[in-house]
Amino acid sequence: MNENEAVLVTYGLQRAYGSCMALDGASMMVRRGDVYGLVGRNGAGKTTLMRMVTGQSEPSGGEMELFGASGKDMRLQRSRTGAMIETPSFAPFLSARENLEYYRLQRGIPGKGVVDEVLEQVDLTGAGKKKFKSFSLGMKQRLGLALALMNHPDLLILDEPINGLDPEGVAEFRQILRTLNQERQTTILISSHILSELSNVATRYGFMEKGKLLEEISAATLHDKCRTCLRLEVDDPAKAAAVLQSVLGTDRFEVLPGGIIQLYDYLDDPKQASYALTQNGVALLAMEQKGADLEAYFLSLIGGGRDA
Amino acid sequence: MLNYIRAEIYKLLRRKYTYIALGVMLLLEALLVGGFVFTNAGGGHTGFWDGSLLVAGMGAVGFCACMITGDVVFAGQYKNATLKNEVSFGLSRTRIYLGKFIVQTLLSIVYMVVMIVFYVGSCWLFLYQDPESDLRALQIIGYFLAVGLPLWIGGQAVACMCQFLLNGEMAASFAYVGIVFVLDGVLDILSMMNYGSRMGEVLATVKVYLPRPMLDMAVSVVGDWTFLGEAWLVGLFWVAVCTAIGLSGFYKNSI
Repeated sequence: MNENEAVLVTYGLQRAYGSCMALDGASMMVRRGDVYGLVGRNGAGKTTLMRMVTGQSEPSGGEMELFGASGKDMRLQRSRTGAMIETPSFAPFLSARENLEYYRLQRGIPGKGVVDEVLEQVDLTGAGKKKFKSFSLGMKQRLGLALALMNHPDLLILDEPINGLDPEGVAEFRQILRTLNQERQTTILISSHILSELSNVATRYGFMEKGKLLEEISAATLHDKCRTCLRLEVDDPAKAAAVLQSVLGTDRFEVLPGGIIQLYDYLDDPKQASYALTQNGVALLAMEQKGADLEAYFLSLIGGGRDA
Repeated sequence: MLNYIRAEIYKLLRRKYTYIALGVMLLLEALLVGGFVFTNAGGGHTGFWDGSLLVAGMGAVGFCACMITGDVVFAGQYKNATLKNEVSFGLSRTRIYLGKFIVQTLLSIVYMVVMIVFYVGSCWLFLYQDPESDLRALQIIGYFLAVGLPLWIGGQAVACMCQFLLNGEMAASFAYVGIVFVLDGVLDILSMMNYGSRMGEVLATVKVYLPRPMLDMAVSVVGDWTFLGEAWLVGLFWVAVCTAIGLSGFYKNSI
């Protein structure tokens, strides 16, 4: 399997509930090794998409490929995935250990030790004998993750996995994901409303809105797009560029269409930049400090909104 | 499939419901036998023949038990949304459906054996015996069980179908009661309303081949091997039809 191999591809995936299109032609590609952050507000179609990938519901249109398999062959490839979609669900009358043992037997995963291994991985060893019905939301999330990890998946699909976790739990969870991704090369598809947390782990993003995938972008490109800069609007961009190089001695800027220059230097001393430009005959029409994070980028992409 | 069945049995053995359901049924049987012993102490003369033959008059109890065993295995699957854990791992819906049905049937058989052995054994131990008539009673019970087994399995298939098709245990139970306990009455009324017509004959014939009315006829035809064969065919027919309907519906359901 090579680095750029597509683990999951969807082509114009659709899902209608009556007259409402929960998914309206979503096309995306998750490559091997990605930590793919799926971003979108409530009802954008993230969970619907994940439910289809995991076989919980069937698409009304479009196609999917999982590890290169499509149609009915896709089902067999699901044994290479681990998933936690919406709230973790277990038999309430069984303990954490019994629940995992039940799924271990059902899935034919060899070795009883694997249950203790994953319980330890999610820090639930002490609660192994506690009944699921008396678990807190955070503990349920951890157990859901333990189940998703039990078969050492090549693709991990996580829908809002850090809901209900305390700050320490969130940090541990982040570390688990990093370890899985970096040491076991597990590909991860994750959605979260906590975009600051998502930006800590994701290497690639897909932005969804109204059932469509608006944009796919790598974390590096997003970082570039969101870098803090001085946004200068000038009458003569060529001349301004020459002044920035010769007078201020910097080439850390980009010339954009419409007389816009993004300068990544002199952020602490914008006066010096404006002085150099005006003194050398460049009319400075506007100047502002600009920067964005994942949330601001997402909101700009969808044109503002309630919540992400 | 074996892994699936093993896992379901693992879960069943750790569920209080499994033991409570059986315990309640055994307690009711114990009360019944206790009642006979009590009346005998007061001058009554209930023997093994009278007591044990009640088994052959209580086919409906077996159909009630199908609903209970179905529920013991399936309860909470939709409510707790645990089916998604199975589907998302790539287990086929056919395996999930048949796995649960097989375990429900196995549990029914275990319950049936325990209940019959307990009841008939209690009657043997505590009631008056008469070797000649007691042997005849055992023959009638044996024939009744041989007819009842496939029909109860058919009833189990109805219960399983209702549980997979209807997202709610109460709705599934109502549907089961409707099919197994009410449908024959409805067919009776409809056939009477269409008395003398072809439609009336068809409805009356269909009614005869429903599992419960068929089992009710067993006691009056003890030793009839043709009837026994028909009972097995009818039971298997219900298993095949209900499994086909339940499976196709389950494939269409979102989980």
